[in-house]
Amino acid sequence: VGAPIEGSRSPWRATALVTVALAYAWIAGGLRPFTWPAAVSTTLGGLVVFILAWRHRPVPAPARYDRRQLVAWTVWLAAVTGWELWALSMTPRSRHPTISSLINSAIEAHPGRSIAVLAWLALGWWLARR
Amino acid sequence: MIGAVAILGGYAVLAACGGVLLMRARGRPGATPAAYLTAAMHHPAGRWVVLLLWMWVGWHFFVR
Repeated sequence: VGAPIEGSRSPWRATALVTVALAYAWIAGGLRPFTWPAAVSTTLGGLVVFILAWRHRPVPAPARYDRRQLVAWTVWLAAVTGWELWALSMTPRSRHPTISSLINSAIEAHPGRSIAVLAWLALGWWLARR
Repeated sequence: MIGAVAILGGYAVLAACGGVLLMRARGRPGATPAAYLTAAMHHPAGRWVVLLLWMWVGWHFFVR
């Protein structure tokens, strides 16, 4: 683990990073699924986040955790997963939509897909800096 | 036979429950999903498991 990446210290560097991320999201959002360009662009985005996660010094974790709330979130996540898997096991998909199929409908067009790529990249960036 | 409306209703109820949990976590830094994810990211194995899950999400929606 090396020195932390100071992305936000320099306004120019931050602007450049945001510009590159927006350009990446726009280009990646225009690629069709099941193609090599889509696989390569997603892998590149993933690699950047993995490298950032490897180099970054984690932020301090909260000193205390609410265990009851953790149980509540775990139950909620299990319920969402169960409902999703149950819908996934049914056909036809049009009558039994999954979260994936709903999101896929929303990101069919280029702008929506680019926004989704940007959101995915932002989540990865946030996770890598934890 | 259960229909799309019922399934969407289920998702809506679950989303509402998630909203309630988020409201309950307000003002309690150790009770949010972000806090639990941060804790997971501090564990050497958890860090890479979470990142691999994130990578899978990207692959699932943008590649396949």
